[in-house]
Amino acid sequence: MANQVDANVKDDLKTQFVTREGTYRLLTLSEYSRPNRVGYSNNQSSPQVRVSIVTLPNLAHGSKPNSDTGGATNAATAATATTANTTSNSRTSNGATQHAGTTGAATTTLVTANGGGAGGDNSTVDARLGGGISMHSMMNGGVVDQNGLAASQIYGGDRICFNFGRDLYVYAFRGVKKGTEMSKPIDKKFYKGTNPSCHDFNANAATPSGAPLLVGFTTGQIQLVTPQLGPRELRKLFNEERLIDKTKVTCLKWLPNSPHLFLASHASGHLYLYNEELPCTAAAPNYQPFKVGDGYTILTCKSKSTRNPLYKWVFSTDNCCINEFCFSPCGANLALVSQDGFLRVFHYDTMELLGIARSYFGGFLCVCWSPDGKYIVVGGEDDLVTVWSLQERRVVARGQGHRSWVSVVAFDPYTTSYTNWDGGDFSDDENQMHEYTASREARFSGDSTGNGFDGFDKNLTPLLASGRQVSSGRPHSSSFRSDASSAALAPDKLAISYRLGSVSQDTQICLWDITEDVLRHPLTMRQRVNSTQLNDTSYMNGGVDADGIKVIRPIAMGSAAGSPTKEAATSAAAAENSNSSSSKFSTANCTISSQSSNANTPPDECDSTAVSPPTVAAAPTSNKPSKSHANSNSIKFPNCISATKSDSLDGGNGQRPANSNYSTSGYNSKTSNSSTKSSNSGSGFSAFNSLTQRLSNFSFLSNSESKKSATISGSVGGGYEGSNSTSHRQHRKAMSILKSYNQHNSNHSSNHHNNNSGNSSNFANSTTLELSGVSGSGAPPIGSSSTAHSFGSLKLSKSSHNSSLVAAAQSAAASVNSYDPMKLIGTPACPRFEECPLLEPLVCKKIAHERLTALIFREDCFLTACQDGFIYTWARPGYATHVAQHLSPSQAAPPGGTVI
Amino acid sequence: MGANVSQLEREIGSDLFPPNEHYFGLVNFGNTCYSNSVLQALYFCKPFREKVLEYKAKNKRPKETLLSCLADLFYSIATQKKKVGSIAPKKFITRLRKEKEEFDNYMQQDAHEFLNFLINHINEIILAERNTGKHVVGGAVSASVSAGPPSSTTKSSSSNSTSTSTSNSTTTNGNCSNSTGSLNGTSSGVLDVSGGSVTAITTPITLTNGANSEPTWVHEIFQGILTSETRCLNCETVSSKDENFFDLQVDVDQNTSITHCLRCFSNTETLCSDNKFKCDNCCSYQEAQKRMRVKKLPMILALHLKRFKYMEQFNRHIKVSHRVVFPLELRLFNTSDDAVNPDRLYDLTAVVIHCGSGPNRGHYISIVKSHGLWLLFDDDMVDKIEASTIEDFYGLTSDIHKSSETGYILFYQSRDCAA
Repeated sequence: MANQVDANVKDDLKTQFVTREGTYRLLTLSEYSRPNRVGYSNNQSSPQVRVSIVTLPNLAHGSKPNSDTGGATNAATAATATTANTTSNSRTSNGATQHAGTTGAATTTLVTANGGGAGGDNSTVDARLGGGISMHSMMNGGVVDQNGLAASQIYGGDRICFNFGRDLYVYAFRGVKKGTEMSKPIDKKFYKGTNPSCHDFNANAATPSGAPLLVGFTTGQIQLVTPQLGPRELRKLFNEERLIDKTKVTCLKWLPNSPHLFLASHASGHLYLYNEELPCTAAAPNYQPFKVGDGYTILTCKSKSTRNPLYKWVFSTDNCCINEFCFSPCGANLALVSQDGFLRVFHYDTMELLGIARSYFGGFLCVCWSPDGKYIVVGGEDDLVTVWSLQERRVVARGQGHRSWVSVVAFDPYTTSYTNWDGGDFSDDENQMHEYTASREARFSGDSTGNGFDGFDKNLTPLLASGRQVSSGRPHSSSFRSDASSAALAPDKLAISYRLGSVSQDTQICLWDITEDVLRHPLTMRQRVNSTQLNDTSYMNGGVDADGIKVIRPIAMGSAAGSPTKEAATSAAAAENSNSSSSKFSTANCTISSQSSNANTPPDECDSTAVSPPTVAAAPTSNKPSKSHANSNSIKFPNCISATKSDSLDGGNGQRPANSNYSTSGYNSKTSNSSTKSSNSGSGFSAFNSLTQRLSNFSFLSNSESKKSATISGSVGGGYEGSNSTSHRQHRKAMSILKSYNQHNSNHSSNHHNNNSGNSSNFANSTTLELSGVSGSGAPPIGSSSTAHSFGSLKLSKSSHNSSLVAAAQSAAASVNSYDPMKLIGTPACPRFEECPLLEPLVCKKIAHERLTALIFREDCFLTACQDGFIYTWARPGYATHVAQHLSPSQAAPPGGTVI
Repeated sequence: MGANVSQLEREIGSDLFPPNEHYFGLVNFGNTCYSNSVLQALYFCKPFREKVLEYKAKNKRPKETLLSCLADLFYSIATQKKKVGSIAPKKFITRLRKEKEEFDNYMQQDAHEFLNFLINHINEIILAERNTGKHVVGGAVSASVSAGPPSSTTKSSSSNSTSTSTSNSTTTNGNCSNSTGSLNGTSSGVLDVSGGSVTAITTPITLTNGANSEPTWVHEIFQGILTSETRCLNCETVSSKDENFFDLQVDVDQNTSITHCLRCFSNTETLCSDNKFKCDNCCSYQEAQKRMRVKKLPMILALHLKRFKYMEQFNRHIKVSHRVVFPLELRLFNTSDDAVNPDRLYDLTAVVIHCGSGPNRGHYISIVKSHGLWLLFDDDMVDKIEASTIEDFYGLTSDIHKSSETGYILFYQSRDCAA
């Protein structure tokens, strides 16, 4: 493109694209924008167009007493208008009554409302927002259509809100099933003197007729409205006189599960907690320190009565405009990204800093948690998508594919594939373990047969079907679950492959698959200096294979199993077999516990109590039936070893390099390049596609099986021990290595594990670990991590996640040594470019002429917004029903290609 | 401007006004904004300013050169009693018009061309003064550098460089434009460096300016090294050569970042058809793959966005107003494997902005960062601006608007030298 000055104009925009799960199609009828589309208007300097969406509770299908259910979701019937509670006034009546309602209800300040019900159509409200700012609001409320039916009160369903310039619109979001009714916004507001810059619905306080909506403005005010018909008792203004903060509101979020509390960030870099029910301070608030952390301070208002803001968070770096923040799915943790290039992760309740990451350069613009809460992805002005592990407190991968700043990143929870079998690890019951292994084996075989894509789907399906246990049929260990439960989406499921989407100012959308093998790659290649170790017997497997790929695979498995190198080590210790699984488990725990990588180990241990025994059992069983399984174990073993080595030694080398092969071919070259410096190790970073990974695992297993399986599988207990011994050897090496690298504490733990096969031993280990961890806390990479680690282990052992979390958080606090990017480069918070696995996008498509500003994944579709004010709906594969006819024939789609 | 000046002072606030700092506009002598904008940007490149002032201190009674005029100008600004105001760079402009006839008129000039000329000329002056008595080598050598535009030599694969060998002549000095035809692609985007003519294909980094092996402070500040690796597709031999540069000239694409433009700059390109590569090993012209990466990162990285493209259908240069975002902080992705400090962190310190619709009309202004403040210099006017308004200078996403205010030359200063 671009040979011509005006080339971009001619670029064809994609209206559909293909991924392995099928074809995504743009639904041209499901397009939201301003009702009256004017010609091109320059919205470039306006606030970013953002989209909020909420699902309202549906009215019961039967007639509910109060509600004008007639209108239920789609309204048409609407007949009557009994008084709905929320919609106080009778529906039948038109705007006028509603107006009355509004005015009456307008408890709050600003509304001078009265909208005069011009015509029956729309109720309009004018309000002054203070500071010379005014609002004109038009609700498309009690419209009576020609049939005399009240058309439009819409109950239930979804609401979508977006801002454009000085305007704010609320529509009923009709998803993929029906086209939009652009002429009938539920609410539209025009502001003078300010622009809405962000907004958020409160899903917790949603009623069938609407949900409270917070709107932030470029001038600093925050408004709370309820875009729905009827009385608008919710109409409040915060920071009205700009006494609290004069700068633009950059992000607003209701606290998870809270009907009244919300957080607001400003361009000033400050973050405020408000209670919607409280008034703001009348004068500029006086603050007093409430908590002082490393690089941040939390202030509280010094006043007799409780006033807003409840808390004010201040960060110490320059130019710290908070661009976005986001709560973890479990609601416990808060991640903030800011213009100073930092990601900060807090345990919200304790206000403890859990960790930081630094952009490669420039500001971070957007942030999103993985559905399981284990990872955070951020995007920014370095054009990269950066994945950060909460457990390990390090940047685990970067994605390069955008041609400009990444404006939004979002995990797609519906396409993230999980694996059940991890769960098995934790259960105590050996028998179940057997089943588990078997099932697992079956799965692998299946995967192997299928092409990678199939494998992917398969994985996905079981998960979706019922969480992990489905295939295995094993009950979960209760304790585990509870822990896991904190993770929002699928606590019991362990993700093997995350789907991630990102949109950028380059007008392109990228989809990424992030597999755990990538995520689990050891830290920096530079750390792995060289590994003579490769020679180790255990290692041999990998070494023998010679092709790094196979070797890697195991890792992948292991990784899938979820052991990062550290974990790997642990896992190795745990038992080759279940290790992987255990490691995953640990990861799962970790998510909750959020400990550093170290934490992983602890979880393992805890798990290991459960796990290890099963693992042992599993091992034997696995040996023959599931060679793969056994193999995997064995493999893992080597992997683990290698991994550990790689961490410390660089042992990863052979293997790692192999990794480089992985998936994306293009990628290889890059990795190789990067690797060049540090020989093999560079290759270590690999990004596997789920497919490849699976396959590879499979293949690898077979390989390894022949060799190691014998030893490992040989005897349950004995075999296990034997493995231990082997591991032990490596362990020793690892130990030595470890000394040099504190980071590897986890390895330590793992090693210990190896030595001590028993659960109890594990615990003991854990304790030791903790100690070591504590001592090691000073560890170079991140002291915090080590400390955290220790904590994690403790807690884990206790198996009380939450508490552990808190404690961990506390312990972890103040781990940050420096916010100087010059010092952070090369650390886990900001690895050098060649030290970090580099991902390439699965799909990268230009879908707009203007920069993209929003991306929301839903079950049947995803939404993108563009700075020109258009919100597009893209149907997922199989959901594009009504729109099909609109597709041009040419789009009919070559299924095979990645894209058209 | 008196009013404006005081207003600026008020805006910044006396408490916050940086001590020992002076914000002085430069009077326009008739289309000299190209010079004013570049001079302001250079003035706020700390290392450069310090060296110029140092030169002033060391050479009390120099023969008048462009450098001495520049030093006088900088010294004059730096020693003003008032903190803000405006000053007339009359002597400098007069001298400039004497030095180079292209600038000896009242036409609008290309700011990058001026920057290119100025830096090279200063370098030559330093070399000449160093070699007093000897025959000056610097000038002669520099002329020989064939500065073809970077990726332009080949059908740049993805780099979208509109420029085939023809285009892009505007920005570079006249002499460079045609050299691109040569197989080696020559120095890409190189503002030719005095010693920059590199011919030995296989030899690594020989700085050819051996005669004056001692680098000048201009080298120390602005000079980086590009290494161009060429792999002959016939014999697979990889040859590399190094080239010095004072700035990098990058093609711009719509809705991209400067980061992306730099990556494109280093894309692998294939030399084929009539642009083949003369392989020393094969002793013949062969198809080859070539890419250029940065081997030595300069202290101040000057990036020139090639916004003036020659359009054959119009037979003239057209301004490309594409929206190209540039972060306040930058690292380079396109460094070579043997780069010394590949993760050097840069801070944006100044931007020369072109306002208007075409290369020969319009206006130049500059924004600079000084002590955490962003200032806009528009000839004799100085205004404080918010960092958030920098986005107004990224460019346009549509071609509807004829006129635009777009970043044209970016000055990134390495953070490790800032202290």
